[in-house]
Amino acid sequence: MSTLRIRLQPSMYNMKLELGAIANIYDITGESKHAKKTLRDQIIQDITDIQLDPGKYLVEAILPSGETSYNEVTLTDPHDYQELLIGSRSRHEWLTMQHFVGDTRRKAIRYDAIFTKQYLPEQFSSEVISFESYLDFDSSWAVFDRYLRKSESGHQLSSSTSLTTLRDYLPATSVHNFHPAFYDQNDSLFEFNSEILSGSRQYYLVNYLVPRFKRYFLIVNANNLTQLCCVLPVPWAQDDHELTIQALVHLPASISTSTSRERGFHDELTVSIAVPDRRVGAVIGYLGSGMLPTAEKLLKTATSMLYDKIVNPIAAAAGAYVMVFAEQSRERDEWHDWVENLMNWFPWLPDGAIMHAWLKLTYGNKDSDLLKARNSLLEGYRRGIPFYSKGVKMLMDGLTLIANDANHTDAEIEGALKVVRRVAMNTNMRQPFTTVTL
Amino acid sequence: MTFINGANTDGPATHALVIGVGSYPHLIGGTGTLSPENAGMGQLSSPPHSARAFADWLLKDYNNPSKPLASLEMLISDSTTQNYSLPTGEVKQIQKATMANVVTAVNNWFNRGDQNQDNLLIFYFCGHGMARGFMTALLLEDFGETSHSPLRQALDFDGFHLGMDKCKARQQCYFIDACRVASSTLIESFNYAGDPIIQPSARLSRIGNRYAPVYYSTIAGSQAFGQPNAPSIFTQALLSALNGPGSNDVYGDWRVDTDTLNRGIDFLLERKIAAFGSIDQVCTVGNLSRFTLHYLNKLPKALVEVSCIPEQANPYAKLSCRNGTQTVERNNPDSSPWDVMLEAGNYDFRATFDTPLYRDNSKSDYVRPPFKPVKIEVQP
Repeated sequence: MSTLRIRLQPSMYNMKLELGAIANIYDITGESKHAKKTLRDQIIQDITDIQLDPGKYLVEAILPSGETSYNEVTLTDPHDYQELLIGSRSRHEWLTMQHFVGDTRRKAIRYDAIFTKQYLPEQFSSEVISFESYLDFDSSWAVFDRYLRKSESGHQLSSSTSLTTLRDYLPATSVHNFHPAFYDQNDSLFEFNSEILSGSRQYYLVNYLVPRFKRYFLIVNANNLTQLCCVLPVPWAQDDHELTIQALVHLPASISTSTSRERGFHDELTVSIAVPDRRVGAVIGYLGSGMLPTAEKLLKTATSMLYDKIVNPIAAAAGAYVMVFAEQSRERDEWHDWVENLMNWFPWLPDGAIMHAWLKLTYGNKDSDLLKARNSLLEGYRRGIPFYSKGVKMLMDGLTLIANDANHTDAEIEGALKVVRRVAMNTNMRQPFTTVTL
Repeated sequence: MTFINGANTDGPATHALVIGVGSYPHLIGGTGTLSPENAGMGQLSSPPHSARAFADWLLKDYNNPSKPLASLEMLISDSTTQNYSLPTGEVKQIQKATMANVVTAVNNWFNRGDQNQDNLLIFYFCGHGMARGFMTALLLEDFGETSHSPLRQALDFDGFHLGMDKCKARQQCYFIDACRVASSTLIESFNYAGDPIIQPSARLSRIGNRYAPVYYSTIAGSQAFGQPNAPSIFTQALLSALNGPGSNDVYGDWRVDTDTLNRGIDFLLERKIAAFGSIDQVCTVGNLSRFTLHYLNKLPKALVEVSCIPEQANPYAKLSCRNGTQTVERNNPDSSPWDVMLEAGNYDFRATFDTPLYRDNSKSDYVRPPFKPVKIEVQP
C-alpha cells in the first residue's frame, strides 16, 4: 500500500491537533480495473497517514472555518509516499488559527481587495468587564437588557460626542483596557488568559468546581459607531494547564456610500474568538460555521476523549451542543448524563442547564419532564448570558415553547423570554461564542 | 395552486411548498398605498422566475424513489403574469402569495406531511426578507397593508420552523432565498417577526428526531441578489448543485445529501458571485443534518475549469474536451479559464493554437463533482 500523508497548515501554537478536520477521499483513477473506493469522514489530525492503493485521488477537506478544499494526489506504486498540505494560508502567521477555525475567510477574500481600511487601532477601544455570576444585585441578562432598552428608546446613538458603553450600566466592577497583541489595518488580535485578565494565571489544574465563577466580557467600540460585547471563555483549561484564547477584532471598512450598499457590501464590526484546544478547537469552529454533521463525525469517535478526561466544562458544553443538535435517535444515550452533570456540577454554567432543558423537551414523555424543562430553562436564564450563541437560541426557543404551551400565563417564563428575545435579536449567529451587537 | 403529482401517496412521499413574491403593492413602485414602513424596498422581478425554476426542477428532475413527489403547492406574486407552464405543456393560473393564501397553503402542506413520519417536506421561499439576530421575517405580497402592523403580513420563519416539529414528517428541508438586510429595526421595534402560522408547542413530536436544515441565500444583515426577469443567483447555484456539484457517490450511486448539497451551493455561489465582480453574497446554513434529498438518475455534472500553463497562452488557445464521441469546444480564445459543466467521466482535454507561439497539447483527466481544474501544459 502507498501512503498519503495529510498535514494541516502549520498552526502558530503547535496545537498538535487530535481533532483537526474531516476529509473525504475519492478514487478518481478513471478507467481503473479495481473497484472505486471512497474513504468518507476521515479524521485529520496535525499529521495523518492514510494507506491507499496506487491511483489518483481527490481529497475533499472540510475545514472548521467552513472552507472546503479540493486537492488531487497521484500515488504511482505500492511504495509511493505523497504529502498533502490542506488549508489555505492566512495573511499573517498570527492569523493562522483564526483562519483555520474562525469566521475570517470571506472577509479576507472580499474586502481586502476592494476597500482600504480607514481605521487605526487608536480609533477603536477595547475593554474587558468582569463580574461574578450569581451576583446579588444583578445578572448579566439584566445588564444587557437595561442597556439594549435604553438604546432602543433612542438615547444611545443620539449623542454626537461619545457612545455610552455597556459598563456605564454596570455597578462598580473591574474594567480593564487592553491593546492588541498583533494588528494590521484590517484586524486586531487580542490574547486573553487568567494572568492577562486578573494577574493570576492558573498554571495547574483549573478548578471549575466552584459555586461562583468570574465571567469576562470583551467590549469593542469602533469609532463611536458600533459596539460589540462578546463572552470570553476564560479560563480555558486543557489537561493540566490553561490555554491563551484569541479574540480577533475585524474593523469595518468605510463603505457607507449608497453605491457600496447597493452592491451589497455590508462590512461590519465583528469579533471572532478562537481557542487553541487540540481536541475542541475545531469542533467550536464547526459549531460557528454550521457544519454540525461534520463536527459530529469528529466527536462520534472521540466522545470518550472529550468526556472521560473532562477538565473543562466550557469545552464539554461545545461537544454537548453538537451532540444535542446532531443526535440521530431519540434513544437515551450515555452523553445525556454528562449534560446533567454539566448542569449540576457547574452552577455558574448557563449552557448546561439550557441543554438539560432541551433533552427533557425532546426525550421526556411525562408532564413532569415539561416541568423539569421549564425549571432548567429558568435556571439557565438565572445563570446569565450563555457562553455559546447556540445557547441563546436554544434558551429563546425553549422559553417560547413553554410560554406557548402554558395553560395560563407563566409570568416568570414571559419575563425571561422578553429579555432573552431582546438579546437574541442582537446576537451574531455565525459566532460560536455569544457575541451581541449593542 | 396545488399540483398533485399522482404518485402513490399511501406510503412515504415528498410534499413541496414553493413561494415566489415579486409584486408588493405596498412597497415602492407598487399599485397600492405605499407603506410608511417600506424601508426602501421595491418591486422584484426575479422571485417568480426563481420559484418557477425550482418548481420545474421538482417536476422534471426530482428523484427520491422511496419518497416520490406527491404534491406541489405553489404561490407566486408576479406583476406580469400569474401563469405557470407545467412540463406537460398545460398552463396553470397560480394563486397570489398573500398572507391569507400562504396560511391556507402552509396548513394544507402541514397536513399532507403529517400523514406519515417518513414523509419529506420541502419549503422554498424567494422574495423580500429581513433578519435580526436569530429572527427572520419573510415578507408576503400584502406586506405593509396594515400600516401600523406591517409585519402582520410576514411569516415569522424561525417560529414557523420551530412549530413544524409538530408535523410528523421527520425530514424537512427549507430554502430561503431572500435579502436579510432591509429594515431589521422593524423587527426590533415591534419585537415581532410576523406570524409563524404553525404555532410552536413544548410538546415536541415523540416519534423521532426531526432533520430540518435551512439553506439561507445570505447571512443575516446582508443582501441576496436577483437578476432581472431570471432566477436569482442563489437559486441558480442551488439548481446547479442539485444536478451534480452537490452530489456524492459514497454508497455507489450518485445522490444529493443535505451536507454535500450545502458544500455544492457554497462553492457554486462563491464562483457565480465572483464572476459579477462587484457584489457580495455569502450563503449560510442552519440546523444542518445529514439525509438524502435526491438521487440522480443520470451522471452528475461537475464544474470544470480548463486553462493553459502558462496562463499567457489562454488568449490564443482553442480549448476542447472529448468524451467518447462527444466533443465540447470553446472556439473563441479568452484570457480567462474556460468554465464548463461536464458529466462525470474520463475526458481528453485539448488546447490548439492558430499561432506559432505555442504548440498544441492534450491531457486526459477524470471529472467528478463538484469541481475539476484542468491545466494543460503547452510549450512555446
